[in-house]
Amino acid sequence: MSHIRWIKRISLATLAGIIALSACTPAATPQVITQIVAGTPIVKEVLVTPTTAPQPTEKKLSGEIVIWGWPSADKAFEAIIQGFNQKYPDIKVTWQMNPGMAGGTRDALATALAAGEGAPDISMIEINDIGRFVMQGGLVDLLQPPFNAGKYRDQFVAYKWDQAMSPDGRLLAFPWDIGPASIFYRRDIFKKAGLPDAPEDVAKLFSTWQGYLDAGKKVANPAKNQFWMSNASDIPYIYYAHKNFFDENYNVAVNNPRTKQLLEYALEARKLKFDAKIPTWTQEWYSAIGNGQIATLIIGCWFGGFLKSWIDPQGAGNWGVVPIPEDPLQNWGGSFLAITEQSKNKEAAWAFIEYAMATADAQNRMFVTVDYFPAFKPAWDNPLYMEGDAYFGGENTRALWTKIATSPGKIFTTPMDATAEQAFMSEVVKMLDQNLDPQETLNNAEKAIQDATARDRETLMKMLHKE
Amino acid sequence: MTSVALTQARAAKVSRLWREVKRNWVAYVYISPFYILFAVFGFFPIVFSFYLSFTSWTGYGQMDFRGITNYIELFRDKIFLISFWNTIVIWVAAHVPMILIALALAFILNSGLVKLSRLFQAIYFTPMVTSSVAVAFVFMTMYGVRFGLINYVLTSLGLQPIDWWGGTGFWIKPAIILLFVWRWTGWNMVIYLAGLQGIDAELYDAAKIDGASYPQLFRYIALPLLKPIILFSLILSFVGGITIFDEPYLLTWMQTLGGTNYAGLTMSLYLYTEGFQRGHLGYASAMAYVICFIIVILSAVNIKLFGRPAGSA
Repeated sequence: MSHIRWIKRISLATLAGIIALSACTPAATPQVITQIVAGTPIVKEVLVTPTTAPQPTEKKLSGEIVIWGWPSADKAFEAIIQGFNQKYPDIKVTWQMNPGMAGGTRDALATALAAGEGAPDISMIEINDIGRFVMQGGLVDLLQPPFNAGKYRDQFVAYKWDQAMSPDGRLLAFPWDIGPASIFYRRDIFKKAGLPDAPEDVAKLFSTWQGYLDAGKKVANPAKNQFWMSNASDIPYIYYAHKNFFDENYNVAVNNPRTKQLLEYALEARKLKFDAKIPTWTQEWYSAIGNGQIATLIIGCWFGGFLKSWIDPQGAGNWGVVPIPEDPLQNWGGSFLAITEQSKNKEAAWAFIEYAMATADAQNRMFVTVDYFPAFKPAWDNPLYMEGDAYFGGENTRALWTKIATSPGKIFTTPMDATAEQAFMSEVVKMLDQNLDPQETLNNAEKAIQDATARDRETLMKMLHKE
Repeated sequence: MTSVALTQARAAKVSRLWREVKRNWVAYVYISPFYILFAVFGFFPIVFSFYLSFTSWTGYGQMDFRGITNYIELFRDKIFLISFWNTIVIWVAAHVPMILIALALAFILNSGLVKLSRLFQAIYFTPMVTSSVAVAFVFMTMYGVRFGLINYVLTSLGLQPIDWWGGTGFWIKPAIILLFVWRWTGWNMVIYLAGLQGIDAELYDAAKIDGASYPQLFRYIALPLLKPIILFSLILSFVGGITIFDEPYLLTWMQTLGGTNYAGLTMSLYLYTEGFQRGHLGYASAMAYVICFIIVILSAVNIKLFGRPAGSA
């Protein structure tokens, strides 16, 4: 008898537990993080000018909006919420940060959109995922009334705006930050090797990839763990990061002499044993950079924030920044804000995006707090962008990055870029690791991109020919 | 005539069953939570993804029915075939040593020759409950190319350092296998230990009196009596091995898909990439069903070869 009583007791307890469990964990809600490590502010907030944006004269917006994203966006929102609520006192903004970062946010958002329920009003989307969401739908076209985002087009960095456009001309997410790419180099190592170390001179030296490789010969000493660059594949990667894989007719466009040349440079770097070949984002990589064992890094501007705050906090004065050789218009990284069709308060959500993304005041408060480089060009008028950065030996890096972002050049982006990039880089890395022929690699890469994006291309063509 | 009688008999049986269910409804309420949760989180996804595998769907909007096209494309997809081969290689190369080590450890801990056997059990089990982030951190440090622990030891001994992530990608699989064995040996050991504890100690005593050595005790007593347990763990690790995801993901997420030459790309990793990163849910579902089919077939072969697992009668 007694064991039956036990079974009953246990099953009751389990039942209660399961009900409690299922009641308090909606499937797709990311955990709210209350405490995260703050991004190091780079300048004092004093420099932020007050807003000159017009005061709202139309009807008063109210209600509650929920934003999904990943740290450290919460710090960015915190920095502007007061200003927003002064303008719209009746809109309550709640943000939920996903501990799985951009990938976790993507999966949660995709799940909520598929389920048709549980999506936030606004979600952050990272550049590698934007294509996927542009293709799948579920996000609001911001060019339509009442949003009419089209009026901001000229105020944003051109390629950034294009990345959020669907091929059939809808704007499915609003631009936030960009990652103008540049070469970060070690001044102290350059000096020791007898190379010039002032940014103007290094930029001249690095005006061509050949110049970049020749300079490396004076520094690289693989036997003593002194490397010139992180990975030889960075040379073709930076040229193709999130862009230019396709031509205007959405045919694969990588098989050309220019790409072949870049692959040859990369191959030369590898043969000279210039690159550390350490996987990025590993402790080994951070340590090697912090110890000065990697003399140059080809990477997005946000890397400056990483250096200052945790990779090389003691390295003030040791680093300099110059543009990418030959084609300075390069970008690595960035994110967007999108309004979901499920949102019940789209106008309030739009009011928030407009304030946060398209006013110089909010953008610069966010920039100062978390280093997200604004894609909103009027924000750059702030004196903030005119002054030197002590960490980079007084170099005016921000002005450089604004210059890079507006350099002349052609950037063509499609929603298939992230997938194409994966297929392309697999072939490039294979070529470097096995010393294969660049032309053959390009032929294979062309085919690999076609195969990997075949399904997306089908969807895209359907989208284009609907009208 | 007979069929009518049969139908009537069946109907009577069904209604009798239904009466039984009604009489014992409390018991059914008690077991219902599992079935309700299973229906929502298990049964529905299983059926729905089967349907999805015949469609093209990005996760929103309309689903285009495309018959068995996904399956045909899958078998023409070079990368999927590579991932299939990788999965099989990793599975075999990881499980043979792992099961042998786990058996040996379990036997030693059970033999009473070792003091503090509880402590050792706990230690061997620790990798199972360690956070995967911490595990990745430690193993990436061990596998460091320039400053890694393993390469440090090798170069100190005057040997060539290992180019873990380069070349043809040859070393990526051993890296994954080592991590896999480290993580799962303790778990298998605990299962075998439970099996060994179920063997009557008198059998060992009798054999010892007859002069049997420890290897003989293991070979002629422990091993045959453990057969059903080994089969059980084989089926479990079969499912685990074919769906291996964590280990290759943790070691290669920051590199190209599965590392250079796709060397560490397993079927689950490719499924995740297609389904979640690229939003090809139909294609990913087809992949999931191919994996499921492989598991069912090979589990059946397993059972045929080793007999029915204990307790499944």
